[in-house]
Amino acid sequence: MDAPEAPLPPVIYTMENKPIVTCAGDQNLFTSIYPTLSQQLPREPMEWRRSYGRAPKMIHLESNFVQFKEELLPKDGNKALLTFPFLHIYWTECCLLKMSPSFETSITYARYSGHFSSVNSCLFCAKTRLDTEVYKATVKDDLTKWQNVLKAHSSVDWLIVVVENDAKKKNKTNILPRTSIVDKIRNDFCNKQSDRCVVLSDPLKDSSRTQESWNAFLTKLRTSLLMSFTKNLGKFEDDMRTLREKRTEPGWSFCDYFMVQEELAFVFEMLQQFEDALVQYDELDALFSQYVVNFGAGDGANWLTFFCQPVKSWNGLILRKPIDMEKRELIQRQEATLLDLRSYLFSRQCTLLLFLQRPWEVAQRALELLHGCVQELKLLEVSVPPGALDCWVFLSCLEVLQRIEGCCDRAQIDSNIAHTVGLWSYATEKLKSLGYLCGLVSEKGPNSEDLNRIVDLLAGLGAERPETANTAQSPYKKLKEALSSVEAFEKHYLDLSHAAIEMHTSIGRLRSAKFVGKDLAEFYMRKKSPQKAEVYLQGALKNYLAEGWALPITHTRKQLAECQKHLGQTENYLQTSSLLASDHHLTEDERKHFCREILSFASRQTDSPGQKIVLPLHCFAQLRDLHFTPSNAVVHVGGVLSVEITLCSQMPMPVHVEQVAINVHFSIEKNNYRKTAEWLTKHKTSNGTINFPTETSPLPVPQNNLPALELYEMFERSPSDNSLNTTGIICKNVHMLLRRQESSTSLETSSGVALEDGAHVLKCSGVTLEPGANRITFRTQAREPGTYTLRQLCASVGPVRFVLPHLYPPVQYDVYSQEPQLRVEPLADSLLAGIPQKVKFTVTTGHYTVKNGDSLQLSNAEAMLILCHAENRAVIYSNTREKASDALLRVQSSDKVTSISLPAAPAYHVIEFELEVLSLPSAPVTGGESSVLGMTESHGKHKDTQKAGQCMATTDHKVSIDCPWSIYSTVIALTFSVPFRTTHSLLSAGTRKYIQVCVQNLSELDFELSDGHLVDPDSNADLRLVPLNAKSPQHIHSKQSVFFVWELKWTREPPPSLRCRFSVGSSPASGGRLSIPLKPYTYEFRVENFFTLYNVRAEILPPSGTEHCRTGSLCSLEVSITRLSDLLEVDKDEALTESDEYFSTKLMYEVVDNSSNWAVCGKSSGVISMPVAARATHRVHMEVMPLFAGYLPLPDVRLFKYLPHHSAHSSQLDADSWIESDGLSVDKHVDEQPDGGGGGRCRGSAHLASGGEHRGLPMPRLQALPPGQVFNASVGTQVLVIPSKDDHVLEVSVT
Amino acid sequence: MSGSFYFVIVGHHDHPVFEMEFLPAGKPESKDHHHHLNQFLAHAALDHIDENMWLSDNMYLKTVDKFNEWLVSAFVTAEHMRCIILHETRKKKNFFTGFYDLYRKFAMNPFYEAISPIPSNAFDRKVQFLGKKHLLS
Repeated sequence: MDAPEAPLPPVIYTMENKPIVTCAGDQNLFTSIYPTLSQQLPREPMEWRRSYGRAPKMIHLESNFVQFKEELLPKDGNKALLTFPFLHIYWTECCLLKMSPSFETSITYARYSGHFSSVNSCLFCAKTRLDTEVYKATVKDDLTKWQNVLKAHSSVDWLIVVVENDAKKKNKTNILPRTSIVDKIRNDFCNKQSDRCVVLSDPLKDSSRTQESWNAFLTKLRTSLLMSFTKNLGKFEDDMRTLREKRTEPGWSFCDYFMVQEELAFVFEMLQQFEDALVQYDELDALFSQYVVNFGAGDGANWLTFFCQPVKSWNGLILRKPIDMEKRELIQRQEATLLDLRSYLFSRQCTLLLFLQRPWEVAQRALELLHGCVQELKLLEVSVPPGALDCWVFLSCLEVLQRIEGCCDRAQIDSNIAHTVGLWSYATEKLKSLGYLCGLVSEKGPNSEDLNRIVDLLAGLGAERPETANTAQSPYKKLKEALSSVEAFEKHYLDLSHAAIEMHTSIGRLRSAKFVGKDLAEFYMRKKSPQKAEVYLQGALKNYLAEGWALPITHTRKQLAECQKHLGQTENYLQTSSLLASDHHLTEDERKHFCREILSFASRQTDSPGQKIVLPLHCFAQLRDLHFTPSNAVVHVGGVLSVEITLCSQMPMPVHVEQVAINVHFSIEKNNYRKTAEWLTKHKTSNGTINFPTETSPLPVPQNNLPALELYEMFERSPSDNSLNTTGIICKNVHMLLRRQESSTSLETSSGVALEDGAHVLKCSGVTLEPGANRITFRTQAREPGTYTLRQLCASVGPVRFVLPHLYPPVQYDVYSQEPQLRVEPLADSLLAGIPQKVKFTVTTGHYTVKNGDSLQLSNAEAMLILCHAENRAVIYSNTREKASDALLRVQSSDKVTSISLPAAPAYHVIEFELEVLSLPSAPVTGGESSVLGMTESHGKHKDTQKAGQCMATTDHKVSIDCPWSIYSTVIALTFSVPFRTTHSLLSAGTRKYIQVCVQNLSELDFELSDGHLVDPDSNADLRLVPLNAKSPQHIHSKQSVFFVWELKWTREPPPSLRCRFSVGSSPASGGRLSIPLKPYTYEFRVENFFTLYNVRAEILPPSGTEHCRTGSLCSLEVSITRLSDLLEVDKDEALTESDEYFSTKLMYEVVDNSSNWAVCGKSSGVISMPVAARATHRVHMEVMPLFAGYLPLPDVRLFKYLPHHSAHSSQLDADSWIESDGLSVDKHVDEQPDGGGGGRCRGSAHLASGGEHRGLPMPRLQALPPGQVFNASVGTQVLVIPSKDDHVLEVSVT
Repeated sequence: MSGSFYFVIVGHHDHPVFEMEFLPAGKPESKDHHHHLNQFLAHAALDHIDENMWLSDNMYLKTVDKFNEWLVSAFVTAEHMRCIILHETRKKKNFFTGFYDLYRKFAMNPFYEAISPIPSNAFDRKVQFLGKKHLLS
């Protein structure tokens, strides 16, 4: 027995561990079988059914076969699972040739791992010659002893293997004993469990039988093993659970429990069930975490207090060994600190995760662990020396990273930066805080206190572990080196920082990169390398500005300000300072500090003029609004314009500004001010104030914001059946989004404001800007006319110029120069002639100053009077229509000239006054008889405005005015409307004649007419006009008419024409007394051919024998035409023929019945030769037939002069052809004349301009007789027509 | 600083839309210099949120980032407003759920222009209430 007798120490196997199976019986036999067995056992997987509903697993079994010893059997209460023998096998052979039980040979066939193994268990081999006797003699005893030992330890997992050797069997003739031996064994030991005894036939041969037997054996072995696992692990788990349930009991110890559950984990690991093993550790992890949390909540467990002992060692995680035995022992001895426990737990989890090929989970869990531990230490209020945790975290980060790097290739690591970068930046962070803590970042290096601290920290690391001692870059060495000197620290810190930034950037975590960069910048600032810091600060600031994070902006700016100050970037520093001084996120004191920085710079630099620092205004002060006086921002040359601006100072304290200036651009655009006024009404509030939008919202608007995604749905349908083929989302502005971002532009560098130097500047000096709103007023006297655009606003503080480069919205003011101007316009809509009317004179003085004695000289027209009143007053207005003064106006009229003395008035004022004018009805002009409308003559141009409507005739009067400011006369036209329209007509009654004059009032005014006269200006003694009028005065209302009638009487043969002049006095009905007598209104006209030559009389007689005419029966129409006078002057025309002293003329008559009451039978017209002698009568007889019954008016009888063909006329009618055309066409061509004579309608045609009949033949002409020459005596008479039959049907026609 | 929370909603242009700090009752307003740290951390965490939100079906992303003792939890609304809480312990899911209820109602207000800063006092008060209920209790 070479096997050590001493109990085996609780060995820990890792992968080398296998479940233990003990072997008893024939050791030599087993030795011979072992190689095959160990090779065959794991070859095939076996399904392991699990308890508690866990999923079954396929498992490859391996075993560690050790020689059976009683000591191996677990005693009661021993929880060790790893050393637990899961199965006991008794090996025996039948049919052996010799019986030589030898116990000398011991063969070691267990493999031992160098580190752990102290197992040198030699297997106890027994060679047994089995035959019945031998069996009975030795084997049975041995077996019984073996079983008894197992029973004593209540171990039921055993197996008896009977190896059967074929070769030996051949030699044996008796087959029975073998069978009987197996049966015997079964009978003796396996009562009811006959399968506990397995026969293995010819194990070392290569035959199918051997194979079969092996398979059966292996299956049995595996099954037995698994059953044992299930049973024993189940029991173990139950015990473990029971133990866990006791955790509330006072004596419970987490560490004890830890060891128990870890035992289970080990077994799972041994069985290569890493997932299950990991679960055990995760459960322990969770349990512990929960305890810590509960502790934080006040529910402390006693055992936890142990973990609260001060941290004395911080040597980081150890992941290079599968099991950290030191830490495990600490736990076992209940001496582990929290960090020890966590470190050990994590190292086990890490190992398992790496077995599971999940290195990235290691990284992720590591980060959680590191943060978690820090939290837990805080919760448990564990005292930790300053920097200790930083060391621990730093070392751990690097350890995890190196462990992962050790098991992954470069490409894998590069593509999984996202998982590891967190550890990198955490390590960077921690190294940084260590550096700050130990004075390694300061300029001077660590002081003695710092050095002590470094020594303390290094002491807490302990000695470097042997497994990394030979590694050049071990975390331990790195930390030690970094803490050893300022330079080494810098190197390591920069390495880490750059690595972290690079990694963050490479996976697109720009913000995180900027965040690390900002720390780096802070480091550089500490190291007095502002030039290196600047780029990181600018980068970060740009990012924060773009995304509008106010506090980071402020913080970064503050750092940047310091950096710029160190770099001597004066302009940038001042700009940043001004931004900070106006930053409300800073304290008042900080803001004042930055404000003072600007002011002190400004005061320092005053001695060296010329150097200007231009800064944007918006961070210094904001332009809120601007107000012009005058409010329309238009001013005349020499006028004063004031501009009042509201500047909202952003500075925290009053700032004295030497000068505020507005740069003005001047452009000559003459008389453009109207446009401006228009613009002003659109863009300015009515009070002339322009508001400027506030530039910065509380949070800066993202400045380089990308346009929002423009996404659209897209459906593509099959053209054939409209079914949906594809669908998707299209981004329509990809080109905008994927555009390369400009990375070089810096938001905070000087904005490149160009300072304009113009000739036109509005200035205001010595202003003190208080915080908040300040009003500043600029005054300027307008000089050159034109448009002035306000361009820049500039505030000067010493050499510093705060400039607002563009004023938006644009602001302009205009200066204009105006020529003096005179405007004359009626007060009312139109001027009426004949009565006094008011006219307004407006003198716009423009640039001319009206002096005393200046006057307007009106060279007035005769027909227009200027009426002078004593009390005429002129009012003087200023340019803005404010009344300045008024003065008496002196108007002097002489013959031709009216002189108006103007009151003195300054330039750019307006003088207004009113004068009364009167348009006189001037000398009458003869109106012919044909003139229907009586017209007043006009002095000037006679406007031909006689429209058929109610328009008044107008007269223009032109007045030429000499103004004092000009050598040229101003000509002004005034249009007067004549309020009346006058018409006349001649009325006849046989030979008696009357003249009627109609006066129509077209104006809106009422008038009174008086003294209507009609006179013959030629004073023909033979004529008398006898008035038949009502008494004057007569009222004539607006839009009404008044008629006047005179009878014309004569004693001798009247002249062929008569001139008449109608005159009537008119005055406004409501005018009161007028100052001057008004001239009467006159109307002249001529009356011609007013003497009656022919009397036409028509009569319809019923057929002879009847009393009345009947419809449908012919009646006779008698027409008699009687000449009333002898030959007169008017008869002497072409139609007059003379023969034998007798004169005759040719007339044509025509009977027309327009109302179709009568049908004319036969010729309805004819030409007659009429003797020119008084009382000569011509009678015409015609037959007519009444078509209707009733009182019918007679048909018209018309009379025309029938003139012979005249060669001069080209369009003449053939009388015959015309006559034969039955008169129907006449109606179409004859012009209807307005009412002429005798009340009847008079139709005639001077020219029959018929189109169809003209054939160029000479034709006679028809000429209507003037209405005064024919008197129709039967006009208006009616004839009674009765219906033809007594059919009692009465047709009534109403026409 | 312990026991306090910082809550921020971040809009589509990565700009803060709404911010609020929750201080435990009885604790005075902490020193100023932490305010900017809150924003710094929330801002840097956007990187992680932008990555994580595509990896999960949930709106609540749990803890996305850590910085020293600070944990950063995030919640992403359906319209991709990112809500961030800086806290030290415990999960903040209930607060986010409550908040999302509130925000949805607010976002439906036709007078609220989506993703613009939230100027409402009522919203302020309600978030404050949620904070007291879920974070500080």
